Amino acid sequence: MEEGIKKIKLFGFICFLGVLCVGIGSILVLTFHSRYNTFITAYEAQVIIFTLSQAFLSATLSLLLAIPISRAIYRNEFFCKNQIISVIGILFVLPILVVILAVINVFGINGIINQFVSFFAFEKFSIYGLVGILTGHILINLPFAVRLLISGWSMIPTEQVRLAKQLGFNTQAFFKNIELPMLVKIAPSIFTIIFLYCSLTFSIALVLGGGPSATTMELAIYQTIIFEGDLSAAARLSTLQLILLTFLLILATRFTGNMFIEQTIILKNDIRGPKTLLTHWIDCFFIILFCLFIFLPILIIISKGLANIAIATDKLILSAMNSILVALLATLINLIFSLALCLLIVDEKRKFLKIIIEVGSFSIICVSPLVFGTALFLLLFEHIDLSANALLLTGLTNGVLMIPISLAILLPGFKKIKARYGKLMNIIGVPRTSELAKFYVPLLKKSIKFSCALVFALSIGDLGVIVLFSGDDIGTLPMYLYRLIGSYRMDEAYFVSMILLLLAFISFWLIENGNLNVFKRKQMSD
Amino acid sequence: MFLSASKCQIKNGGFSVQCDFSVEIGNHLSLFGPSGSGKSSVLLGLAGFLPIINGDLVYDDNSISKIEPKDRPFDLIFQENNLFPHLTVSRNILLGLGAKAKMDLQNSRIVNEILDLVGLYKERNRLPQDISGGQRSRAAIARSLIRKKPILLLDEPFAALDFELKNEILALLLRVTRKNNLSIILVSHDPRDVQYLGGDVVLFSENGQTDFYKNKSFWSKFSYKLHT
Amino acid sequence: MKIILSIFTGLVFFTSVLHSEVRQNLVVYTYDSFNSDWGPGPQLEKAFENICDCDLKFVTAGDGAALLAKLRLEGNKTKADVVVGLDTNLLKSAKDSGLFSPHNLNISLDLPIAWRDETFMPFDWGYFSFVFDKRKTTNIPKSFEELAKSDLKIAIQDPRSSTPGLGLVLWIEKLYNNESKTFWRQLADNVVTVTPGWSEAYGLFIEGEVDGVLSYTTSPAYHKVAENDNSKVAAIFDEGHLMQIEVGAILENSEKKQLAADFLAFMTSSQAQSIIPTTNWMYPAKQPDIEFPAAFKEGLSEIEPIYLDPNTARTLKDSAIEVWKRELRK
Repeated sequence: MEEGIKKIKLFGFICFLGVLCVGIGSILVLTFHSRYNTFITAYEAQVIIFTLSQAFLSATLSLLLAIPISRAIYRNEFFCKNQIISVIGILFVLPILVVILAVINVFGINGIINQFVSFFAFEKFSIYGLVGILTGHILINLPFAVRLLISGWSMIPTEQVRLAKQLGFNTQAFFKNIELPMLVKIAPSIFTIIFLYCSLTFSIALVLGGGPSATTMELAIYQTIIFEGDLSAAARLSTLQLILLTFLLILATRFTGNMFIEQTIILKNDIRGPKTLLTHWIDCFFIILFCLFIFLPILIIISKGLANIAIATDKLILSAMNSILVALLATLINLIFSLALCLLIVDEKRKFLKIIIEVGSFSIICVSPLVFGTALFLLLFEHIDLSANALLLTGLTNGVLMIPISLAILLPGFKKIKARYGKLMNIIGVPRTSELAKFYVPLLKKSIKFSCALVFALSIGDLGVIVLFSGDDIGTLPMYLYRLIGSYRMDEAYFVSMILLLLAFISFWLIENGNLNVFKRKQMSD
Repeated sequence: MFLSASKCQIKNGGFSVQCDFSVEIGNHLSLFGPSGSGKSSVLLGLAGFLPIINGDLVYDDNSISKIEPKDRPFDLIFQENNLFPHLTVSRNILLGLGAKAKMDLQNSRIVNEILDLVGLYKERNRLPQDISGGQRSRAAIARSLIRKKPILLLDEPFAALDFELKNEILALLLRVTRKNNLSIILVSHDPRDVQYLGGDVVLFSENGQTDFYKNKSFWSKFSYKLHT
Repeated sequence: MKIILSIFTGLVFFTSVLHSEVRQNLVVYTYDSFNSDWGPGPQLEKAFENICDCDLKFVTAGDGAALLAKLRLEGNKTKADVVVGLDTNLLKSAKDSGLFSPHNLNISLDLPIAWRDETFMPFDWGYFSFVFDKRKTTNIPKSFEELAKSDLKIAIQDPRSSTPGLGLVLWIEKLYNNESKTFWRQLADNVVTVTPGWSEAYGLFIEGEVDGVLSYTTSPAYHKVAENDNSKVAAIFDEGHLMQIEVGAILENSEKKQLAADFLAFMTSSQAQSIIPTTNWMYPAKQPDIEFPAAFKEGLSEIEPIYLDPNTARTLKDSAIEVWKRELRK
């Protein structure tokens, strides 16, 4: 083996160890900083049951809704279809507080829908309770699921659809033989990501759940760390959380930790399954429902933002720039880590080790962000000036915590290429050090771009866990937003939300569609 | 019985191609020309996956240019993805008897016969990803045969196979088509395939022109060019 | 890879160097909104640096609870010299942590109650109260009883994650004692929802989702003074209102205890006390020489103060949260 590949492998292993440390390490750090340990209480058991069941329901419903919606969007031509597809990921990037306000504005007591309802002299409904939790979680996760499922539909090979026509499949047979196998392949990953997201937050469940019974594990952890200062309880709870969620992760991905996310969307004309008049109207219904559900909240934020246009202050501009910086850093770190991990995984020949590394890497997604932030804080605060490096740390933590998402996007491509060209690469003697640059990166350009765009947009809207402890007046845009609301400045907060939305959208679009090879192509065609 | 295309114009996106030919059932036809000359579009048009916007396609004195793909007298075998990856070889072949066909005694006898014919009986319970490329081609042929359509459309189905394997499968095809009095319409850019198949030839040029040649006139006119 | 790593460590190092001290440094920990653009932090920093010949640096952490958590996590390795913004309801555990040292100041304050504590020095205070919108709510409740009997919809904060939320359960526990269970049951149908922090609840109120929100008696003053909006009003309850006193303290570990004490003294000076009320929207701990807008003191004299000393607050806390958790369940 060449010297170079050894180095890359070593780096991959270091990344993996680092990644492993994120989970187990965080908990160990907390355990060491605490004094005693007790067993699980009845209250905690209740919290665990609630957390898992609401996450299960949210993920199931999001997925069940996303299937007909994505199918309808994919199968039909309609006004602004491509634009809608590129916008739908956007609610995923808003800070939770803004999402809550958006939900309230649409579904709340005085929200648009209730005003509509009372206009027709029906009784207003209250959203708080399970319905509220599900609405909030679906609002955030449905677009994400729809977007990934549209990719799924579009990845069905043209030949298979034609084959179905040739063999005279009806809707049912088409679903069973062509659509269902695709869903079985990609739905578990989408379900898992949504499930984990819903188990690792607490604001939406609490606010829209309407009472203390809507307590998730993350809130219990927040309480133990912030209010009780009881790190041992926090460590215990998050150990439980990590074990439970990792177990579910392994279960959901069929025992291998194999996450599978398709991201390329190829819109083909005339190559779609069988249609009838009834399915046409059902498709229309789902498209309209989805557009209303997703775009009403976005429109409300934009209209409120426009109504409160303020002159951008220096602080606002600085915050926006900081946010971009943090997101860039997160994207960079995330990319380096995930590429190294992907290479490590596809190159590993021992099956057992391979699975361990895969599951280990994906299990970061099961780590409580709060515990991770606290652990990082405990480890670092003595050695570096946290408040001076807050931006750096926020970027770092965001980048690391999103590794599972980018792995889910990149790893299937890596495996495919390894399977298809692995031998070829050996035969023609590509130096293994340049496999990454010569094969994987060019061939997976689209996946890499999508992964980067997602990580960038997500971290631009994220408050960042470390912020809780490492505050400074140099902040990011979401911090600025929270400060505005904390200082009674709701109107300006909407303006900032709108800017955040636009920023996330523009950056997402630019990274995903930006063509960095414009010049190269020109030279080639000349 | 004849299949004839008269001034058939087939539209593929912004591009269209026109061709004329006639083939008697039992004889073969090659659509031959460089890549991008529209051969595959014609094949897809015949099968009903691309619209025929002008001219007529007639089979057994009936126009078939507007009917559904499943009702046409063709079975098209693609370059790849001919099999459903989640179904075993025999289940894939069973689909040729209809989307709702059950693996009952009678059907399984039919399937097994075909499996024997193409030499896949041992592999009948394996998934497409677990058999070789050549075996996948045989499975696709088996499903075509089970549908009992008079004309097989082949869209360079052996492009990914090596020379010997390709000849082996072509030999199998020639054998079964002769036995059952079937026709093959083959799309290829390789003159050796055309020669092996025999039959008449539609020559596609890069400028979109198509010319119909009888077997002998084609080889007398072009053999020197093709073999240099 | 090496290049990226070295750039990374370089950045860490570089930013640390930038912040190295030249003048004497005073590190003050506070909660996030204290040092926002609109909070008192920036003005106080300027004013104090004018008189101390030192470099004052605010370091923030979430809210009052996160602030204490941060100090506890850092333990005796903290770099903080002073902390401002601890909440009286959490003072017991702050005291027990042994992180703070006596301030040795003797300053008389203008609080509604007598304050004597050798470690913690108040700088502002407020009353928890429910805030309503006059245009929508005509019958502003005058007591908890009235609120519970009304159809008014309110949002409160979670006592497990927010200091006002904790304030409310303590307030009710103090007033109702053994009856708090029954009272929470009566109040349950008024509580539309519980939010993790003050911001979410206040947001719901501003959006008109709820009629009232748990906040402070000083909240309406903000709307009057800053937005010229007279519609917000704090409900004054006959039973009295729980006080929240915000205090500062010197860290045991600080090597600049004198400077730290100077800062605490400065926080109660007329200069600082005239800045704090209209930036932090709380009452001054010591009446400064200037008059505040009338809106500020509206109804203040009618209020019966309720004060829970840190020890009582600590004893009541767990059972109060337990009752809340059980009885508010829907």
